[in-house]
Formats: sequence, C-alpha cells, structure tokens
Amino acid sequence: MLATLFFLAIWLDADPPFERESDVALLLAGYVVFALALVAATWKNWWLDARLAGPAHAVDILVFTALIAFTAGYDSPYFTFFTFLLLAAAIRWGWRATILTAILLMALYLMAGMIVSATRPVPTLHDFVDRTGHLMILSFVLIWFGVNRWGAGTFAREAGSPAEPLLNESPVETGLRAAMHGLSASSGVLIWRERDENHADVFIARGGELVTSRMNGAALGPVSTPFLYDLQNDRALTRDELRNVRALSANDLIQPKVASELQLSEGLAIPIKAGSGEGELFLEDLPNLSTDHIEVGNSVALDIVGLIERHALIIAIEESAEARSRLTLARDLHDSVVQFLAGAAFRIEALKRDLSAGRDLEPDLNHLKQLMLQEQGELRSFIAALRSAPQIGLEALAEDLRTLASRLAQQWDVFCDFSAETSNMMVPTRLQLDTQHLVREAVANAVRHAGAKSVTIKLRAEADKLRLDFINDGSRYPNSPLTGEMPRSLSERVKLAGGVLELSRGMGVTRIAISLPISGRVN
Amino acid sequence: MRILLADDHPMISTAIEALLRDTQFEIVGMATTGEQAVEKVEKLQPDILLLDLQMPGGTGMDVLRRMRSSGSKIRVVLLTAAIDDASLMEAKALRAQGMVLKNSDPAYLLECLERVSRGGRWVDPELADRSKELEETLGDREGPSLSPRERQLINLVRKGLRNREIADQLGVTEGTIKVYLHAVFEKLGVNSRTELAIRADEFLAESFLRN
Repeated sequence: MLATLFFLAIWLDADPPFERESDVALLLAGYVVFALALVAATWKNWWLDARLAGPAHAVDILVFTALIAFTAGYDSPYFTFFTFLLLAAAIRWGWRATILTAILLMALYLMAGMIVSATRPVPTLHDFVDRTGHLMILSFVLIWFGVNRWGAGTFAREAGSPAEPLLNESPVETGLRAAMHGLSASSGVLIWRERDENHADVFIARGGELVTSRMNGAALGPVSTPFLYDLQNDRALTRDELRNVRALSANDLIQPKVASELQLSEGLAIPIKAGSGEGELFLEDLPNLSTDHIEVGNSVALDIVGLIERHALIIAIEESAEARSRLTLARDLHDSVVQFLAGAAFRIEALKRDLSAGRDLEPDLNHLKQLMLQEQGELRSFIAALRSAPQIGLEALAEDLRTLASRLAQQWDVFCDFSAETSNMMVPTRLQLDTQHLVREAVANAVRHAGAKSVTIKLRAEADKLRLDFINDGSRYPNSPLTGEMPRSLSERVKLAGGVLELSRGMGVTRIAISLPISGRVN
Repeated sequence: MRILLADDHPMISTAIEALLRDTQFEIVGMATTGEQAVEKVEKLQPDILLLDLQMPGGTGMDVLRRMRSSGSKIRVVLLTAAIDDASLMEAKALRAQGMVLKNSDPAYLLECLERVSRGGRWVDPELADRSKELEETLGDREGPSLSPRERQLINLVRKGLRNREIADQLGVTEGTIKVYLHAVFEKLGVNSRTELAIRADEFLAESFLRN
C-alpha cells in the first residue's frame, strides 16, 4: 500500500520533491512490484508471511533511506514513510522492534541528510536535524502504541466475553465450541486429561458434528505455548518469551500417529493447563491464519481454563447446597420424628408398667394419641412441602403457619398470636419449610431461653423478601460468646436460608425480625 | 433417689416423667439447656443427673466436663439419640455412670438408673460393643497424647469455627490460635485444617483412650 501510494504521489505530482526523478520513479516502480509479489506469495501462507516479514522490513528501510537521499525539498514525504514503517514494526513485533526500527531509521535519516547537505550548494543539514526531532517525538508515540498493543493482547476474538459453563454439558465441550466460535474455526479437536487419569477424553468438532472418543497418551510434545502448524510441510511457528517468532518442525511438536488418527493438517495448536487437568486444543480452517493467532491462543487457553474452573466451582456449590439440604433434613427428622418416637417408646413402657400395676390407662392413652395426631399433622405438612410444586401461594403458607402457631402454643404452654398480610403472591416452596422451622425455633427459644409467656408472630411479603417478626415478652436472651444475644440455632437457620436476622429489645419485649429472600440472598 | 432431668424436647421430658412415676426415682427438677442443668445441680443437689447430649446453651458433654472439673460427685446418666466416638470415649474417661440410647429398649433406662443408684455403672449394650471395638482398634496405636487445650481446639475446628471465632471462645489472640494449630498439625501429622476436622473424631477418641 505504501509503495503504491508513493508511486502514485510521485507520478501525479507536477513538481515532485526529488532529484533524479526518473531514478526515483524506477525505484518506486520496483518497490511496487516487490510489494505486489510479496502480497501474492503470502496471501494465504502464514509461513512465508512470517518468514519474509524481516527481509521485507529491511527492504522498506532501504527504500526509505534511498528516497531520503534523493529528496530535494522541504516537503519530502519522509514523515508518512517513517510512520508506516514504525506502525508495521509495532503491529508485527511489538515495542522492542519499534524502538530498534526507530533508532535505525533516525540514524539513516541523519546520514542521508548529511550526504544530501554536503552535495547541495546551500547547506540544509539543520532541516534534517529539526526533522529528526519530529521523528523522535513520533517514535515515542508509536513505541507507546507498540507497548499497549502487546499488553492488550493483540487482536480481539469474535466473542467479547468468555462462554459461561453449562451444567448439562462438559466444560471441555463448551470450551471447544467457544474457542471455535471465537476464532471462526470450522473444525476443532480438544483433548482433555483429568489429573491422575491415564486416558484422555477427545472431543472432535467437524462439519457441525461433535464426536467424542478416548485415547491414551498426549498429542503434543514438550511445548507450553500455542503454535501454528502445517503437518504436510512439517512447519510450525511459535513465539519465545521475547515474542520473537521461532520456526520449528511440526512433526516434532505433534505426535504423527495421533495427528493421523485425529486427521490434523494445518491450524493453531494450544496447550492448556488447569489445576484439575491438562489438554491440547487444535483449531483448523481458520480464516486469515497468521502469527497473530499465536498470541490469541494464550487468551483462548486462559478462557478454557476459566470455563473449566468455573464449572467445577458451580458443581461444588451445588453439591454443597445439596449437602446442606441433607443435613437440614437430617436435623429436622432428628429433632422431630426421632425424638418423638423415642418419647413415645418411653410413654408406652410407662403404660406397660401402669397396666401391670392395674392403673387406669385411659388419660395417658388419650394424651399419647393426641400427641401422635399432632406429630402426624406436622410430619404430613413437612412431607407435603417436600413433595409439592416449586412454588406455593403465600396464603397457603400463612395458613400452615397459623396452624403450627396454635400447636406450638399448646406444646409450650404459651400464648401465640399469629397474623399475616397476604396477597395472591406465589413464593418458592423452600420458604414454606424455612418459615416453619423458624417459627418452631423462635417459639421454642422464646420459652426456653427467655421464659416468654406470649409470642406474637407477624408475616408479610415485600417485593423480594418475606418478613417474619417475632415479639416476645420474655427476659433478655442469655449472651453467647459467638453470637452475642442472637439465639444461635435461629441465626444458623436464617443464615442457611440466605436471610438476615435482627434482634432488638425495648419496652420489656424482645423483637426478632427475619428477612428471607424470595429469590437469591437478602443484602 | 432424686433425679434432675435435663432434656430440651418436651415429648421426652413428659415421657420420662411418666415412666418414673411410682418408682423409687423422683424427678426433682427439669432443665432444658446446659446452663440451666448446671445451675439446678448446684441448687437442687440431686443424686442423679439424667442428661441429654444435644441441648442448646451448652451440650450434655459440656455439662459433664463442668461437673467433673468442679469435683462434683453427682452420678451422671447420659441419655442420647446418638453419640460420636470421641464423645463416647470422653464420657467413659469422665466416668459417666450410665449411658442409654434413646432408640434402645425403654426398659434399659430403668435398668440403668437402678444400677447407678446402687453405685454401679451401666452402659447401653450397643455403646458397650462400640466402645470395645474402638479400644481394640485404637488401643494398639502409638499416637501422641493431647492436652485438654488441644482437644478443645480440635473440637472447635471440627465445628467449622474460624480462627477468629476460636480465639474469641478461648479468650486468646488469633495469632496464638495459629501457633496452637500449627503445633497440633505437627503432632498429629495432618496437613490441613480440613483433614484435622475430618479426622477429629478419630484423634479425640484415641486420645481419651490413652488417658
């Protein structure tokens, strides 16, 4: 592009700023031909593109120097040429090559200037010195551009943000699809080996189909950075720590047997290492494959590692939630059913002894029957909540709590007043279980720890939370070193439900305000 | 025989009250928390403390420890739905006179109370078998002995408490807890807090066996 523009500028300019114009035109024509030949040779060949980049840059510099040497006026277009050369270095190699190119160009510019000045009747060296100052300022700008360009991580992938893990799909499969989509690759292979496993899972995506298989051993040799490969011509390119392009043998990097089994030919190979395992990604049929893809490969590897780790984290969170649910269920069964049955067994033993002693069993039997019916009712509503649909009406939930409050009043010999501000709102079923546990716990705590004679329970729904207020007329709760005045069992239940508990005391009563999230967590 | 019943579940309390009616045992008081149990023992001076392990405001084991450390001669019968290995071995080491499982034959409770009231000991057959098995399994091991403070620390780690919370409970600084924990890790040959929490029951049971 630079060669063509220059050639056109000189050709169209009525008074070109060069001496020996025919020589300049010839030089530029040759330069245009050279550039066109280069474009033709490297158009679809990343190998030649990388290998010829250095020589082409050297030719650009030589042409620049020659044009300066031929310059004849104050308006020679050196500035544009200089900018193009530094930009090329910054884009292709980064800030180190930009600095070297800038120093070399400025030195050549001054040398050419001295030669031109010496051959002119009027000395013009001061013009060249002034212009070198301009070039220096421009160099700083472009070096800064080179630094930031590499820091930002080369050209962007198509997808802006990394893919989110799907729980019903392997994160490796999601990673492969995301990488292919991000780089517009038509085919891809991802080999993944879990830590301490001998075999590897292989995901092959070709022609819109995904095939999975297993293999032993690794596909890549000892290589830790992404590289471009062309197995047919045994070519590979990677970048070293200083980002210099290094040519290698593709057959040394990729096991030929595995390459043949996986039908690999030409593309980008990316080694991946995560805490849970390691793998190798091969992306093929990429449009405009070039050495820039090597840098992108590092980002793709990080994206896949992030995806696998996020997936593992989500699974761990789900398992932890399941474990918590199991523990809560076990605790509820222990606190209600097991204790009740143990108590019932003791009562029956007592009745047996009373029978032997010839006592009247009826009052005790009636009491036991009453207790069993109450327990059965609680157990049924507990099971119903476990079985029911994911959502329950707020009115039904309030009705259950009202019945529970009246049972608790009998059980603990305390006055329990329940009131609710309901609507036709639906809430998750888990809230039915949570609120039942909390009401049981709060009433028991008020009686046991505060010696309350009356407990008022109020339920109301707000936009995104359910609010339960307990007001009791007991004494202060005893201080615990861990939770202060907060009743520990109640705090734990609220925490498990993702809610917030506030305790306040005044006018001889204790108020416990609990907010439970209808979805998510209360802030 | 005067009995103090400490159990937070009303169904159990009323059932035991009915069971002991017209026997030589008289329930002189009831407690629903660990703290209440300690207070009422001092106040009522019962002959036997019938103690549930899972109670709010101090567990049954906390009450038993306090009884023994204060030199109280009260006879203690543990009545529990479940007991872990470490607590079982600790209860034996603290000379609990009786241990009854709530899911065993209810007649065992009366049998146990009668034996204890005569100055003897009575352990639920299921717990006796478990205890014997533990002694056989852990008895031959040559593990390090643990101080009471170290046991306390392991117990708190097992409960999932953070260093700050443990420090608050033990009345020391967080730095001291880190030093203690490091020493415990070294002594028991564990590599992490998680490993210590998982194997706490085994370490504690073994250390009580050695006492």
